[in-house]
Amino acid sequence: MTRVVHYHRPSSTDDALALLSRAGVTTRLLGGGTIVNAGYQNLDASPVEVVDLQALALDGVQVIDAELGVVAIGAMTTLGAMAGSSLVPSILREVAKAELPNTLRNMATVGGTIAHADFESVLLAGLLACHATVTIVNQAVEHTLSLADLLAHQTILKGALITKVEVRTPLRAAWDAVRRTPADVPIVAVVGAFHRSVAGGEATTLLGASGVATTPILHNEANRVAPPGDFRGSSLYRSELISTLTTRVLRTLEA
Amino acid sequence: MSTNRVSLQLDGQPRTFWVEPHNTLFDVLRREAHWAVRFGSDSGETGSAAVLFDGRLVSSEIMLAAQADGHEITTIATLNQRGSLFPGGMHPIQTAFMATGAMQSGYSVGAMMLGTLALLEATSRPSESEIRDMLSGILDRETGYVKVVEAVVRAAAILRGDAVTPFVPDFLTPLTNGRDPVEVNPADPGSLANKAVPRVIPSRDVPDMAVVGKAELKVDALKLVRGNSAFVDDIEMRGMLFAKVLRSPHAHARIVHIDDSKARDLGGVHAVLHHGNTPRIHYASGGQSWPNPYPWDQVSFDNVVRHVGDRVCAVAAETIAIAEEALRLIEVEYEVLPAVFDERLAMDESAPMIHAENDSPGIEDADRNLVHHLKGATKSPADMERAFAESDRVFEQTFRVHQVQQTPIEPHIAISWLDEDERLVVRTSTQVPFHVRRMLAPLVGLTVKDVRIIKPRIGGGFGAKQEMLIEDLVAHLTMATKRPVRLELTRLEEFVSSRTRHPQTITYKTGVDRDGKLTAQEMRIRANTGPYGTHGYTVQMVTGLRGLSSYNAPAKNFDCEVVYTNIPVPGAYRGYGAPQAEFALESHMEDIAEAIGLDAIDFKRKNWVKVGDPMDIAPRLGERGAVVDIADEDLPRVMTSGIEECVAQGKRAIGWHRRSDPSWVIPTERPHIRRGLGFAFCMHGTAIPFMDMGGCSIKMNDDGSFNVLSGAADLGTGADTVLAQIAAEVLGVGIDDVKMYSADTDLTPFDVGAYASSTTYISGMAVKKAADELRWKIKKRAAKMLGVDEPCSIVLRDKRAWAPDGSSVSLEEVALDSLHTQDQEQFMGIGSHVSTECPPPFAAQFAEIEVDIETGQVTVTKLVMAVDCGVAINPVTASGQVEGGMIQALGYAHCEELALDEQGNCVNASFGPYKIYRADEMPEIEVFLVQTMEDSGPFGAKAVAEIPKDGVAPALRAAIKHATGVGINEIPFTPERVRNALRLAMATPSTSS
Repeated sequence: MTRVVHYHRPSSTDDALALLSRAGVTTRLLGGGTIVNAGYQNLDASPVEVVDLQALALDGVQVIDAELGVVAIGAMTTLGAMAGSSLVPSILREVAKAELPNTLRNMATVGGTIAHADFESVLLAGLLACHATVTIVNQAVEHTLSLADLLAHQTILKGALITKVEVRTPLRAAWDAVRRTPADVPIVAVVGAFHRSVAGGEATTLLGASGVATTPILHNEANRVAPPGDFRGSSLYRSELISTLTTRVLRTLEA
Repeated sequence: MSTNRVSLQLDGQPRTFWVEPHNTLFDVLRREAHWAVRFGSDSGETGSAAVLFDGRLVSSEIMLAAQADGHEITTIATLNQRGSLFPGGMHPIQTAFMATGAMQSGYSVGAMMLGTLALLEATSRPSESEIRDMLSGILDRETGYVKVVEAVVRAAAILRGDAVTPFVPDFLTPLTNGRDPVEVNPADPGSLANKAVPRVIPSRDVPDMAVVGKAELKVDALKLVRGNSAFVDDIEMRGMLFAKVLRSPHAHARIVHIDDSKARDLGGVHAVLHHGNTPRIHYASGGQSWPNPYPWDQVSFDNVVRHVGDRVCAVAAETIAIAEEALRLIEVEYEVLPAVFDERLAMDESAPMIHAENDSPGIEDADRNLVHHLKGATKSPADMERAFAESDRVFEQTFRVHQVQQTPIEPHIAISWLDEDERLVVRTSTQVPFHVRRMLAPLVGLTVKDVRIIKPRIGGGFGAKQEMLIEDLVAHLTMATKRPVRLELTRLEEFVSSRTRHPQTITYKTGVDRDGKLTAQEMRIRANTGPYGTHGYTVQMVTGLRGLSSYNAPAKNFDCEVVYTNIPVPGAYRGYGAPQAEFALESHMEDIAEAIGLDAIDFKRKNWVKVGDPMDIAPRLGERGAVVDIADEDLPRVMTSGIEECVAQGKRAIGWHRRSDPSWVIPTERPHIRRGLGFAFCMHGTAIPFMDMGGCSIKMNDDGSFNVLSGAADLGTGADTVLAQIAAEVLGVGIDDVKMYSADTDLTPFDVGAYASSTTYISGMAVKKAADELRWKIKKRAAKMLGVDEPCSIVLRDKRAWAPDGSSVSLEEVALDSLHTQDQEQFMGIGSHVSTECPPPFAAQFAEIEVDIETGQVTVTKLVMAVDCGVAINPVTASGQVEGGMIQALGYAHCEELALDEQGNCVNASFGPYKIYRADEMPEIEVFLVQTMEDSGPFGAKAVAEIPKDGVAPALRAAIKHATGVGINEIPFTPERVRNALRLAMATPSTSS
């Protein structure tokens, strides 16, 4: 358990950022609590202050562009709400459900999941495959960047707040994974999404993968493939799985 | 640190609390006596503390109380309130969970029922998939989720107003004559009942009974569905201190110096104990009969630590936070020593000596890390050699089994205090209260009479609590502070500082003649007992017993070296050495069958023990020493076996005929998938003969009801219910008139405790004897009241005593007469039982799997177990035991492993990384209870609790081999291991890796 010494529940983004920017205070943003309260970011047990974002109205799912299938998901939207929302692309509903069991899925937020950047997160792989862009606020300035960039450069999040993630609904999608058991965290997962052409461009297939680099990656980030091996799967095994699973997912998409 | 004002709706009522920032919703709810909200882990992944937060099921251990400000929280109290509107005062969800046997220990049942409430408010007719998803965050180590799902379905039906039928067994027609094999008709659908319903195959040898054999409700169900105070932690004591333990960060080190001054100076700290201020008294922590088997290689605190997580210091402070801060202030200087983890390397010249002290008695050869060298044989070495030499074929194979943890959802917890007479009382989650009392007393300078152990409800144990693991710590701290002290292990401590299953390297050598009959069988083991002996002797003895009892062979030999290493400590774990043995044995037999061109079941059948066969290795592997010379007629023998019926029922249920269907094995639509079916023959034991003993006393009350005081320890198994059924059957009353109490060393008779599949058989016979004695007294009094000369002619039935002429008196009248009217006497019965027999239950385990041959992923799609457990006293609880046991066994075979890094740190000491099966990923499960009448057991009962642990691993291996042609000799069957084995097989002609 994290050693929480102060609890804050700001009512505005500015207030949250101000709390976050204080010098000399270790501050953690609190989404649902499945990571911060469980102590996963506080292994040295040093005291922290938490800033609970629940009052910032950052939850909910909204259609931004019905024609292009662009959907905005508030950062405080729980994975359970994502999994149950008909506005969310079905592939993301599936992987949101696969990410965590019910009791934790009902607490964990999409913003928290992005900030935690767990290398085995199948939800992040799914978001990558759905052209996810992330909006963050830092020093009262709003930035939008691709999830892939954010995961590759996580220091961007220092002192910043994720407010929403936007995704595009694919025409078709599929995913496959290798796990010890059917609901296990995948050792390696590949999520593929086939997207319509936009503004005269070509239709594209995006593949997100988890378990093969320090964060989930897009398949075109080949330079980032460096699987951390562990007792569930060696580095070599994970490297080989990405190829097998990619082939299968592409085959499914083509079918 | 600030405080926060939290206002919320709690079970429909506005409530306000002042909390500290670090307080969780769990803390607040427990403070408010919501006992059904129970601790499982600091990271919330067990779900045992889940409540409804704005109608959603969430883990309250990882939600700050402040987060709940402004929200609506629902606990079991809401069910209790709404229940008053229903017949019997119970909400239909509570009724359904009771009726279906959906809880064993019931530790997490509150969370399950709340999840059900939320689900049924969202949909009145949930699909099984929706139910399983709702349960996905509530880990259940006991039920296998089968009856839980059924409870939700049933609750939904009741709430919809649908009629529901009684949840009773489906009695099936036997397929065999009980002796001979039969061909199973593939078109026979078998039982059409819901899979949660126990299938019972009756035996004509079993008489009809009023209470025994019936699906009686658990006697302890009410307290669980109501969320009443039941478990160790469900009490509060004024002035209680909280203990925490400083654990070793090193796998092997000498403690050079401890500076505890800063911790002692910290406000709120009342005691800091370590090797420098605690008496050095040797003991063995395994909860076993006196005298505990050697070695006695533990002391409460040592100056050497021998595994990561070993004890260094213990602190008692006014809050958990202060205790944790005190641990951070203790400075320990270590001299780090080399460590060894693999039993195969532990006796090498280069291996470090793990017990270099010279005062630990009973170590076989400390210089070589050899704890025990166990041997047992039915023939001399020369005769063994000759038997192998004369065999037509000899096969030798080596298997490796790994380390897993019991993971009861309730961690170890104990609370100790000094009572008004300054006697030490320990309320603890233990399977062995009487052993703990005897073992604890000398460590704290007391005698047995000055120690009282209370075992309340236990949230699962599975052998991990067959130890004196933390009771000495709270006792030392209470003696030092004179205050109540509470210690609860964290989930991390439960993984690394509790107990685990022994890893073993097992080599089988078997001789076979040209007819496929075994001529000789030898089992050699290198077993890993970690840094302490505890159960090292007995578990490995059982491995030998189980590994050499299943099959007849004229010559048998057992040789086992038990060695020290620096892994977390192995100990007792449900099955107790048998799962290791059976994986190796059944796999070995499977491969021999293939090599000699026989069907595996036919080959095994040709050799497995049958009624009348001797169990000849058993006397040679006794816990109290081997019997070398024993006449053939004195050998224990198999008296009952329902294995042929088990095989037939299992084959039908699994669809065994598909084994020879290539289109089923290789599905065309998924070319990378191979399907397989596997079988394992299982044979277990029932208690330890001449050693396991149970006692019971029963007294009659004014209203003709009875109090049964038993020393047995129900750890969620349903033992209290089964014992009550036995008493009720004898005394001619319903189970409602039998009130169970177990176990309290001051109040209940002695019992060795819950282990070795002994409770029903041993404690049950003690109850039966006590009830028999009491029945006779009742009959004599009733005869007198009815004017009957022959008390023998009186029959107790329907809570009345009946004379042959049809006249009767109620048991209430008998009780009032005996207590108040004439020749006043308290009618009591006392019984104790020790068995000279160890009747084996038998089982047929089947598995259906899919293997992804490109990735190595194995998916288990169905498990079937048909068990001959004699007469199941309660078929619902017995089938629940089998369902839950099989899923534990599936974890052992498939996905569970305690993974250590090169320094001995456990890298997966939390649920998730340490993978146990969830409700939403379970294979289909089907259980059959095949009756036989075991005359030595109470009403024909044999053991049932442990045999489900034995067959899944070898059945999975056989199924994988059927699917792929590759036999894998190491578990668990994780994707990379299987993929590597498949690749190796492709590269080499051998079929075994």
